[in-house]
Order: sequence, then C-alpha cells, then structure tokens
Amino acid sequence: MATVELRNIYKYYENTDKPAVSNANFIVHDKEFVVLVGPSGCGKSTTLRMIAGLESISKGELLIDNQIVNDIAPKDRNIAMVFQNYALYPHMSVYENMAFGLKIRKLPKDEIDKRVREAARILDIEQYLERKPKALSGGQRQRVAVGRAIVRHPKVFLFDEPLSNLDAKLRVQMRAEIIALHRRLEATMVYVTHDQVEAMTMGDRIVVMKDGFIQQIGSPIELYDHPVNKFVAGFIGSPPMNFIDTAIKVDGKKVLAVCDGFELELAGDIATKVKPFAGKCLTLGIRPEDLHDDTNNDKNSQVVMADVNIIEPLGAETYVHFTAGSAKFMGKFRSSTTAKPGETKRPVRFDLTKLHFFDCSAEGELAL
Amino acid sequence: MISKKKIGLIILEFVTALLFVAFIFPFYMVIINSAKTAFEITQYPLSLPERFGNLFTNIVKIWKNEAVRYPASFLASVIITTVSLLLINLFSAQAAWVLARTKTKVSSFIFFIFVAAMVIPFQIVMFPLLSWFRTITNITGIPLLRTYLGIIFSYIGFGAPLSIFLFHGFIKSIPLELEEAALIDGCKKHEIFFKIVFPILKPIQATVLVLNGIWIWNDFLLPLLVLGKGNTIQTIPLAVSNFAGAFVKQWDLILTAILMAMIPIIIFFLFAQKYIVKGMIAGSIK
Ligand SMILES: Nc1ncnc2c1ncn2[C@@H]1O[C@H](COP(=O)(O)OP(=O)(O)OP(=O)(O)O)[C@@H](O)[C@H]1O
Ligand SMILES: [Mg+2]
Repeated sequence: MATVELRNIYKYYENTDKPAVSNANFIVHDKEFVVLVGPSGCGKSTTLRMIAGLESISKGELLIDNQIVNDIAPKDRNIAMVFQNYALYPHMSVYENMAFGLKIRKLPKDEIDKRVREAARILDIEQYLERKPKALSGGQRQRVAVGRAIVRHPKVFLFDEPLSNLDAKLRVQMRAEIIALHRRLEATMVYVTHDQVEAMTMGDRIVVMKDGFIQQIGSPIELYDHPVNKFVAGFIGSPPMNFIDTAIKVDGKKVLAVCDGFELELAGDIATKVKPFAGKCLTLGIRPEDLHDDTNNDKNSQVVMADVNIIEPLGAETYVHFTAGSAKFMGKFRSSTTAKPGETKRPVRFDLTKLHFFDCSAEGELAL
Repeated sequence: MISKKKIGLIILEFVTALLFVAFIFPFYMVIINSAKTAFEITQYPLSLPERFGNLFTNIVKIWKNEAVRYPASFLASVIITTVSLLLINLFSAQAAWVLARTKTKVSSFIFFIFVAAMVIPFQIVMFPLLSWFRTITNITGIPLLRTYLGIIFSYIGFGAPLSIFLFHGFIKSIPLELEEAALIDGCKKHEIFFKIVFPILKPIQATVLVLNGIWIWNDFLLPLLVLGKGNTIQTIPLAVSNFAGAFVKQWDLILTAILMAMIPIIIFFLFAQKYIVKGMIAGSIK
C-alpha cells in the first residue's frame, strides 16, 4: 500500500510573489501511474520535488501512506526519483551507482548484490555493470537511473521528464518499457512530462497543470472527451482541437451556432445545453479527427463548404487546413483524400455530436 | 611556394625554441656548475665541467654540511608542504562547496573576499601578519612564530583563495541533481561531500596540489619571517640561503645546494604536470 495525497499545497519560491504551485489537491492511489503534464514552467517539477522532499512546502499538507510527511527528510520518505539528466554518480561504476543507496542504508552485502543483479537483469544492463556512466549511451544511462530507483524497493517512484533527453525512437521504446515495469513492480508512480502523447499513453490518470494551477484530473479518455476548459481541450490531443468563434442564435425551434462563414444547426443534448447562451458569444471546439472528408449527411452531421489552404501529408494520414469566412480549422483525413491546395468550396462534414463549447474569455471555462 | 600559414608556424616554432632556451639556461648553469670546483667556476663559468664525478663529491659535502643540515631540512620541508597541502585541499574544497551551494548575499560576499585576497601582494600583509601572530601568542599562549603550527596555518590562509576559486568554478558545473540523488539515496550532508562531491573534484584537487605544492616547497620569504633564522625547523630554501650567507665564495657548493633543493620538486612536477592542464581544462569545459 502506498498512496500520495496533496492537500491544498502551495509553493512560493523566495523573491517571487506569484506561487509556482497553487492549491494543489490530488490523490495518487496505490499502484497507480499518475502523470503530471503541462507546458514549461507550469510547476510540474516543483510539485514532484515537493513530493520528494527536495523542495519545502510553503502551505498545505503532503501525505504518503496517510502520514503527513511535510517535515520528513527525503531519505526517510521511502521514495526514489529518476532525474531528467539521470544524475548518475560519474566516479562510480554502474554497479556501484545502483548499490550506493543500499550501501548507505547498510544493507548486507549479499542482499545488495542480489538486488542489483536482479534490477540489471530486468533492465537488460547486466553486461555494463562494470562500466562508468561516461561510457554508456543515453538510453543505457536512462536504464541505470531507473535501476538505481528499483533496487531501493521504494513505496513511490518519482520520474521527472526521464525520457526528454532521448531521441524520438528510443523514447517510444522506453515509454513501453516503463509501462511494463509499472505492471511488473505494481508500484505507485508519479511521472512528470510536458509531452501530452507520453501522458496519454502512460498514465492511468493525468493531472493537467497550467501556471501553477491544476486544470483537470482524469483518465486519458476523460480528458480527451470532456475537457473542462479551452486550455485542456487544446493541450490534450494531437493535432490540437480547432477553436472557432461563434454566436448562439435561437430561431424558433432551431438552435444555431453562427460562425463567420457557416452555420451549424445543433440538435439533441447539445442544443438544450447551449440554448441558454442565446445571443451570446462562445468558442466552438472540434477535433481534427471529428471533421470528415465526405458528404454522408445524417442527422448528427452537417456539411460545410470551405476553401483548402494547405495540405500536410504524413503518410498514414493527411492534415488539411481550411478557411471558411474568417474561421480557420484543420481536418485529419485519410491520405487518399483528393483535397488540393487552393481548392474552393470543398465540402467538410462536421460531426455534431463531438462539438465542444467554451466561453469566449482567454481561460475558456467550459460552457458545455 | 611556402604558404602564409607555414611561415607563421615556423616563426612560432622559432619563438618557442628561443623561450625554451631562455628557460632552460639557468637549470643548465646550475647543473654544470654543480659539478665543478670553486676554481673552475670562476675561470670557466660557461664550459662543461672537467669531471662530472665531482658532482657527487659536492653533493656529499652539502649533505654533511652543518649549516645546511640537509636531511633535517628536507624532512621539515616535506612535513610543512604535505600537511599544508592536505589541509588546503580539504578545507578549500569544503569552503568552496558551501559557498557555491549557498545562494545568499553573505556567501557571495565571503567568496568576493576570497577572490579579492588573491590580488593582494604578500608583501603588504607580511608584517601585520607577524604582529598578529605575536599578539595571538601573547593572548592565547599558542605558539605561532618559529613553529610548524604557525607556518602551516599561514600556508592554509595564503593557499585558500586561489584553491577556493578553482574549486568553486568546478563545483558550479556539477549538476545539483547529483547531490539531490544522493540525498534521496540516504546520504547525510557530510556523506554527500565525502562520497560524491570530493571524489568528483579529483582533477581540480590535482591542480590545487601541484600549484600550491610548487609554491610552498620553493617559498623563501614566509618561512624566513615565520620560522626565522637559526631555528631548528628550517626548510630547504632557508637552508640554502643559510649556507650561501655563511660561505660566500663557495659557488660550487652553493649551486649544488640549489640543485639538491630543486630535484624533489622537479620530480614531483614531472609526475603531476599532466594534472595541471587537465584540471585547468576541467574547470572550463563540462
Ligand atoms: N529555485 C527556484 N527559484 C525561483 N523560482 C523557481 C525556482 N524553480 C522554479 N521556479 C519557478 O517556478 C515555476 C515552476 O517551475 P517548474 O520547474 O516546476 O516548472 P516545470 O513545469 O517543471 O517546467 P519544465 O517543463 O520547463 O521543467 C517557474 O515559473 C519557475 O521559473
Ligand atoms: Mg521541470
């Protein structure tokens, strides 16, 4: 059993008036893999470092295993951390790097040896045990850093952007390996990244942060389907969601979202929810994958005529950028699409069940 | 046709060769004249000695000389140099670590004081130093003048600024995460220093040891002031000057004494010189 709980946690760095982390509240359940994600400078590392005990907590309570640990030293919190730059001890061999924490804790020699060799086997670094970190590749160093955490058998694993120094291919591979490791060790893990793809693929749950504030907590699918505001909607998903300014008009029974260049007639649930905003301005959000390259009109769809600006063929799929009036949006289509740059009045089908609405402010709190 | 680059290279090599000759000439003079008799030196100071075997006769004479007391002086020099070096190395590394890792105005100020101390000439502080030593001895009863304690204490003080400066620069380039990893691994503060930071500082330690070692071994003025003349504790440079003062005309023996003073530090330098360069580079490139 290992849980981590943050209760109303704030972090003020010295000589700054704006908190780096504001009112952070969340629980990491036993054996859960929670990812902290957000743009650079949003306070992810600060949050993780407070959990590790490397940064003091300005206000609020931190609990590990239902025990308040605010004033407990990092070494007594029973956590292990993997750093972005690996932080391997350069003057020690791989074996010594992994054994160091156990030696300091005065474990018997044969127990240390057993644990190091087991970790080396799991991570496939047995043949490098005698090497110094300098003589390893980035991926191998990464494994050693993970190994150093594993041998300690900690209650909680903390990762701070451990893959961001690796090349794209290796990153995908290590991603899968860390997920497998999580299954195998059945450990509680908190993982920091700025990469939403990493967050989506790895996390049981994701905590999205911005400017020190937690925006939303949920499973990857919850965040994808029901983002609570424009920031989360734009941050989660690749390519990002299209945002189009729109005005809501109620015309008899019809509820219309009037954009510059086209109108969408809303129906069902969405219509009911949007109706109270009649006469007001909203931001309409739709994901590129919810635009379709056909004219199969049904009651949940509507075809809009738009001009093609640019196309970006990626092989498996093609991104097509459209303009309709002042609205700009992008569709993610199959690569067999016949769209050509400069084409005018091409039909694009909007999936009306996948529309999102946000208020027009910069924060874009969700209207629906 | 010879290219411009080649001409530049030739000029450079020529200048280097010239400098080499200029630097090696005094050594050459000392060595050849150590193997001559007093008469030979005054007659043919630049020529090669008649018999190189004479060198050993001269060495034995110096070894046994009452004013030089070579074995005792050598031992005193070794004690003063090694103890000073070990303490300078340890204390400077510790001080630099704390100064580099503490980001307060006070710590920047202290560091600034150390850097400033590097540019103050020794001659300005030498007499105040002596009077302070006398005062301290009068008040506390701890003997600082004419003792190992006093001279080693002085060397720690004079050696610290440059050493702290060198360590400080290198420590700033050590990622803080290493120390944080050690903290999470369970190290206490002193363990972080001795098990992580100090071993990583090895190349700089070598530089600090070599630079201070050469200076302390060869130093004349500070031992003269702190240890004084006619002391049972005398370093090799003091011994040589003692001898030169007592036997004004025996240039052959004076030069032999100088040669015997140089040899240990030259051997030390030959062993350690690659670390000087290594350490200098290690400070600038990560
Ligand atoms: N030691 C510090 N002193 C003062 N401010 C700091 C300190 N460390 C971080 N900050 C500030 O706190 C905020 C959050 O920083 P943090 O390192 O947690 O961001 P992050 O989300 O990890 O970003 P990145 O993805 O770039 O690593 C930033 O605005 C940063 O400038
Ligand atoms: Mg960070």
